[in-house]
Amino acid sequence: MSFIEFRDVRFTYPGQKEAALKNISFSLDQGSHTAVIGGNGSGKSTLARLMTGLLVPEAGDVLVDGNNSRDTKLHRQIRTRAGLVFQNPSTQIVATVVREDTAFGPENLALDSEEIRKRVRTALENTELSSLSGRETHMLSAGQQQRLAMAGILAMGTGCLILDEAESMLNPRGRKEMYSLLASLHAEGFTIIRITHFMDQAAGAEQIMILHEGELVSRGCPVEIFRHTPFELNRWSLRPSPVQELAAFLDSPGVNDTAGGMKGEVLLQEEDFIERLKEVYPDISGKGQAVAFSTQSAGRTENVEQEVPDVRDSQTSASTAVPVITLKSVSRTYGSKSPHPVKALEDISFTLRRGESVSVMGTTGSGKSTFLQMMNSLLLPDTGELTLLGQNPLDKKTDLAVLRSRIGLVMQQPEKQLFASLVGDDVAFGPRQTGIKGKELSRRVRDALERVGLSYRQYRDFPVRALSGGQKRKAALAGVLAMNPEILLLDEPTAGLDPQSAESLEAILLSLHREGISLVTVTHNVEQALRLSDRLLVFRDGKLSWDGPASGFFQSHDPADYGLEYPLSSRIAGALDLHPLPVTPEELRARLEPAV
Amino acid sequence: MNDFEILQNLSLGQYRPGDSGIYRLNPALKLAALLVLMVLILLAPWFPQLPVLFVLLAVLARLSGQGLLSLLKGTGPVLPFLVLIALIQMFFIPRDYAGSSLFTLGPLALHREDLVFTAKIFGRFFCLFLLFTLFTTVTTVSEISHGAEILFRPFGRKKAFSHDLSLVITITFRFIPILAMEAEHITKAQASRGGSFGTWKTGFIKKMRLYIPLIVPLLIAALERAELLVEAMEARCYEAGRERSRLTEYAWNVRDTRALIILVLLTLVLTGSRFLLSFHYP
Repeated sequence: MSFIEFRDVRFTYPGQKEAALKNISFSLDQGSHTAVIGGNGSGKSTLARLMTGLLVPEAGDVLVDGNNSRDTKLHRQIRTRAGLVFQNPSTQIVATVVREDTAFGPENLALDSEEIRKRVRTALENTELSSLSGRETHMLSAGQQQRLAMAGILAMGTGCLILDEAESMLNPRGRKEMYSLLASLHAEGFTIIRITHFMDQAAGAEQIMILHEGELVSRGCPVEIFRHTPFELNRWSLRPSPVQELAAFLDSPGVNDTAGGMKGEVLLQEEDFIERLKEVYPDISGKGQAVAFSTQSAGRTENVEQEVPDVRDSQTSASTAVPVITLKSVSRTYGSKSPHPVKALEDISFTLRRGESVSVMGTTGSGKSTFLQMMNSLLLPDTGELTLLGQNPLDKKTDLAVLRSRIGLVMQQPEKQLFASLVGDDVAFGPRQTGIKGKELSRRVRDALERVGLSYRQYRDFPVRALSGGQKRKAALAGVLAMNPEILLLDEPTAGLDPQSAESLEAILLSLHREGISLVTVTHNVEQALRLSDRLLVFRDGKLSWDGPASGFFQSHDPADYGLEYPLSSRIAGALDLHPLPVTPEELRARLEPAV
Repeated sequence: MNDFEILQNLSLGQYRPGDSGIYRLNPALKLAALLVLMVLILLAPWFPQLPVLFVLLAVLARLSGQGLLSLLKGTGPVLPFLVLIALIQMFFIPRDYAGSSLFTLGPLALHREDLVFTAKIFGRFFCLFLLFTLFTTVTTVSEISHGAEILFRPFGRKKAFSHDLSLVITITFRFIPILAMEAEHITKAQASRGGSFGTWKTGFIKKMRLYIPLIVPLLIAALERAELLVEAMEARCYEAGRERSRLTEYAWNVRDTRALIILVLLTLVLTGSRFLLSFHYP
């Protein structure tokens, strides 16, 4: 029986000419698991809001369990049947205590307090938040906040969860917890509808719908959907699933012919891929060690051969370049005078050399952001020595504004901090602050815009509001580049972007790095960390737990202890019993090659 | 240099865990006391009632287990504005002057009335600030909203009125840390793009001027947040004016009765004293 039905739905936001959704028709069964994918601004969030009656269609009908959303009297019916979880965990929380927030929905339904208490207890048990029921909501981690949002929906007695990019602001651990929660709810018979930018997650659904510019362009089971060529997917701002990409990489012509057997087959699940590899390389397992040491071809395999490096013994690569940032035993405490001081950084020593690229990982609250902001002198150390480009920011003679312009910081969701109304004006803000005018200013703006791939002529006078999500992010990056920084500090540069925008932004960062700009990137995406740099920093509880080659970390530590996960290549190699673990696709390929 | 830790510098609206007698009062009573004391402060002639009230608040702060100074620390960030307002009040606002000026500097003249007026606003400001800080320090937000609900129950035509009111209070307080965080984020973004926030060179006036470009993005951020919250609330079946129920109820005990009697007596004495003794000026 169809649970959610869209009949020729059209929706236009007030004041907009273009419709956000056009002629959408589909129906979803009770207990089904659907993924909705598509680029930023393709209408996915609008679709989710239409499903819960938060928006009412301009033409056509939306039926939830037989209730038409046009009738506002039925909204309560609709919302107790289909609950919506939003992207940003903290914005959905109404109350200040966990159990009270969970009770908010049932309170609105005017249930008696005995029933509310029962529902709150069950919902918190289901989301594994029972032990935190008296906690203040703003003290929760992002992952816990998102589970709280789900608990709030479950307490309404709903049988359907709609998640609007609900995992995009979570770290790998938070994401994993959410996925297992969703899987168990789905097993209990819940209808799950997920809007996501994570292709591996979409591949795990029963069916996928692709939205592109407000239209439902494709719908089918994952295998059908991912049979589209990368080119087609790219046109919809999407990418193949990671397993598929890895399979294609291992399969690329000239490498080996045996794997050619995978062609034409759509492999989406890790398990299937592992099985397939076991068939193709029947005697690979266990041989890992010997094979690894005979491999020299893949360029980065020298890390594999190394003994597990010591934490301090890391600055082996690029050790000849000049240090640009040095931290010596730096500590920083927040609210030192308050009754509950938080140690954000403890005894951190770190050196960044010119032209280096470093990836930084760790859970929320592990000190990554503090670390980043300290290198931009937005925060200063309580103890220890900090040297930025040869200067000491603690010295009151140091011009911090100049220092900050040379060490550019791109904050999380930087597009939120665009304040001018035209792109050109916003990009010019930074250089203008340092007194640059006239021709030099327009040259700076032009260079910065072109470097991020936005044409100066077209975008100089373009209204900021009319940019897409990915373009806004690029414009924000241009605003920092316009100050000609020598070092770029990036906090989650691609979070919340669709796969294609994320890919193109990553390409920009890599090209900036090739131009000689040093990069320090905080990211929750393990694969991205590996693509951007060999050197990985891992933070835990304010301490630097690892500083060295990424492969060394994954070979000697369990990433789950640090709120991280193994990269895909390592997971696959692990299942094939290849040790030490390769971390990048290149390494995996090099390890598989000689086995043939 | 702690310019960015806006939340840390704010002591208003921050609950601090504690377990003294004041903490354990019935929330309705705490809220009633807040309202009564607020009216007393606003209506009190400036001398001697205002200093008396201030001393009383200081005693309450002591009883709550939180120090007076740590409660007043929150005035720090707004102090530049206060000084500016004081200067304007003293020199630029014309008043009915009875006597000649006490002091002149070029076109600027200071009269006795100016001083009295400024002292009055500042006395009130500090009393109110202390009162609110103390209240929010010892009361959790859910207590505040429950308190409001209990107090306003008799007033609403429908039961929903008191519920809505208590929700308004909850959300207001929920937004304090959110806005502080947004402000921190925006100042940092502006600083990292060449704004002069948190540099060593900022003088007093410059520092105040820096807050102006902060207002617009902060307002936008607040509106966006509000919109998202509305959606999240609606998705969970909230409808303004509809009857709601409650997760918990609060009991009334002897301590509350005692505190109530003290509050009533105090109100009588302070209002009564207004007619019995009061300094007349000018």
